[in-house]
Amino acid sequence: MPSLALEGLTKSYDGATEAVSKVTLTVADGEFLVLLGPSGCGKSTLLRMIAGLETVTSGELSIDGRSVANVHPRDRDIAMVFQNYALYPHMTVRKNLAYPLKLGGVPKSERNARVEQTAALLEIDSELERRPGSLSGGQRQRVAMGRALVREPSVFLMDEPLSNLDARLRMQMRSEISQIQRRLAITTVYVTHDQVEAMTMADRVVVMNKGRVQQIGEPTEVYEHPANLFVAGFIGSPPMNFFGARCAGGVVTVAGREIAPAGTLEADSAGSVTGVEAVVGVRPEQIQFGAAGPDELAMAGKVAAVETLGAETLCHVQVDLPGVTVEAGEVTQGDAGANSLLVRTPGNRSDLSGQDAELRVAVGSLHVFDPSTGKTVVSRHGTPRDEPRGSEAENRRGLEDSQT
Amino acid sequence: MRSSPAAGGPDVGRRLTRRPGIGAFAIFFGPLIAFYAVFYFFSVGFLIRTSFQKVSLSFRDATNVGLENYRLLIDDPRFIDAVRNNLVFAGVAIVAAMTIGFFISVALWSGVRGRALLYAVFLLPTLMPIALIAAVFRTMLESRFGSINEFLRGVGLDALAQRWLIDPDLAYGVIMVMFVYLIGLPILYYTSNLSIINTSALESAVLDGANPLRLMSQILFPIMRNTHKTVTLSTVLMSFRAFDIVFFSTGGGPAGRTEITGTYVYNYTTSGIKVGFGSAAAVLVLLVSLIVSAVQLRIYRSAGAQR
Repeated sequence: MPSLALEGLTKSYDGATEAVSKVTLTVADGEFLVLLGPSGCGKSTLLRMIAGLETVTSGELSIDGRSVANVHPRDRDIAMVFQNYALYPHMTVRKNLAYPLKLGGVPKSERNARVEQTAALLEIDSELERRPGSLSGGQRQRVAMGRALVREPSVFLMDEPLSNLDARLRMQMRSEISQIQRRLAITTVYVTHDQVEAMTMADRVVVMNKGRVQQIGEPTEVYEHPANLFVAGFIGSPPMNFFGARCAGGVVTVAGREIAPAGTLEADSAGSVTGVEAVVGVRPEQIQFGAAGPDELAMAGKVAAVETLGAETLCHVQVDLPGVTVEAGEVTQGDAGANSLLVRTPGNRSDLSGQDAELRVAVGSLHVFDPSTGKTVVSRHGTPRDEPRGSEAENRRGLEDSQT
Repeated sequence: MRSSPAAGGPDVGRRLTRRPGIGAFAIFFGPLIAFYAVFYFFSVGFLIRTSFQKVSLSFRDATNVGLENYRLLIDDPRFIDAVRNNLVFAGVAIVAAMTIGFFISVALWSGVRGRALLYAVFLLPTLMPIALIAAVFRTMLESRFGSINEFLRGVGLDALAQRWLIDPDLAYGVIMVMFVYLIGLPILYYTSNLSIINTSALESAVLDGANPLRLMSQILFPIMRNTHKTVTLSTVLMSFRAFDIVFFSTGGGPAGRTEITGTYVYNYTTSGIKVGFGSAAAVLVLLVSLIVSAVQLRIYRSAGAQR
């Protein structure tokens, strides 16, 4: 039985604006699920609905098989870590940790033992008599986690808990949270807009946009097989390159070369208003400098700018391919002019600046998208995409709903 | 490349950090200093000087009497009663502000229906002249024809129709009620603090299992510590300046039962013959209010340091 199940969960304000729309997903016992998306995509609202801090407009929500959509937050057996930690400033760390146990009627001796145990787990046992105001950001974060963990809840919710930490501490806490979660095998729903957190911590990622689920899957799966233009553009840093392609006679062609069967593309794109027949995407690390082989697409261009990052270099290469503008997963503008491709190459290649360059990219690593619906038609490795991958059967309904 | 002073290097910094000239100082602070010199330093200085004199309202033929006025004042049980009344009324007002005022503020903040109307009901008295409110209370509480007693008699509750401003204990209670009635300012302080409060701690407490009562008493009330501080200090200081509440309702009576320091000082300084004595009382009241405020600040500071 899944630990947490959401069925068509919807939140609308004034009956018109849907902040969360028909979200269907399940979280297995002990699973680490990450809700990922840009600001305003509805991920925090969804988390707050699970917590009971936002009412559910429609749909079903159950924890351990018990319907909780209309149950008071304190009776849902959940704990939550807030973005700003939400510690009680007037209580010591010990009292902060003990507070939920005290309210739960746990006897004092057991309460003390559990507080000591949790503090030791999070290495804050020497800070128990201090108040939150005198703690560092990292220590506060641990106290917030401790207060949630000490209750031993059925579901653990985290709302961007690392966003107030500096980059170094964030990296450290990322790894610690993952380790603790795995050690305690506690079902966790974690909200973030940071794809690095999602990719490194999650068992599965739920990518959201405009209140709708765009894709559910394991991190590598979402990265390699994005379900649509939004996911393809949102996951990956630097982001995927997009350019226009021709679609005729049942095949998609780029620079005169056939790269994939068009599948349903021709029928779908008939209504396209941008004039783009197909959108092709390729990740910056899939493009290489050099002469193309037999299964590779050749492109010629000029390196317009170089960004040296130490271990790797990002090159902006002007190529003669039709450009397209993709915003929030939608093709907003077709452009027949020149296009700039971002190429990620290892080492320091500052010597390439201003040079003419030959580029090659394996045809099998190209993704093809339908410009009118944004859906993926062909994903990398040439896999035809008739169905969204990597999600439960019930989620397919959510995806279909989200794309209508 | 070193920037030359002409190009706006170190010289610019020096110019920006240079102290303003005496001219600028005079333009900005001159009017303020003149205002304070006339209305504050001069009047306080004058008050302190006359407090050591035996002098009438004509301020002629003043005789220096040293600390005699202060000695007489400390020996006067009416003055001690007035100071005690001040502190009692301040205490009642503080307790009311931190309980009723706090509760009303939370109710207003939590989106209760008719919020705008309730704001008007509680805040309006604060915006009106206290003298007017006191006069209205006095008229309403008049024992024979006052609207309160008329109403009580009208609904058959004759036994409850009291001599509100004539019975010393009832008059004392009436003054307390009036201090509580002026709860608007604390409500304003609390609601403004609530509007900027981070609600995550409250949400967290809800998830931890806190019921509304615990939420208010164990989380929200302690979180608003700084506002309590402002409310307490402002209420104490208001009580020492609340001359008009008492003067325009009971006039300090009956038999000095509701006398506060303000009415005490007023009675002596306007009677015309004991101005020096009245001045000494005013200076002592000033000292008492300063000491009370200083003690409060010290308590808050030490409590803050423990956090």
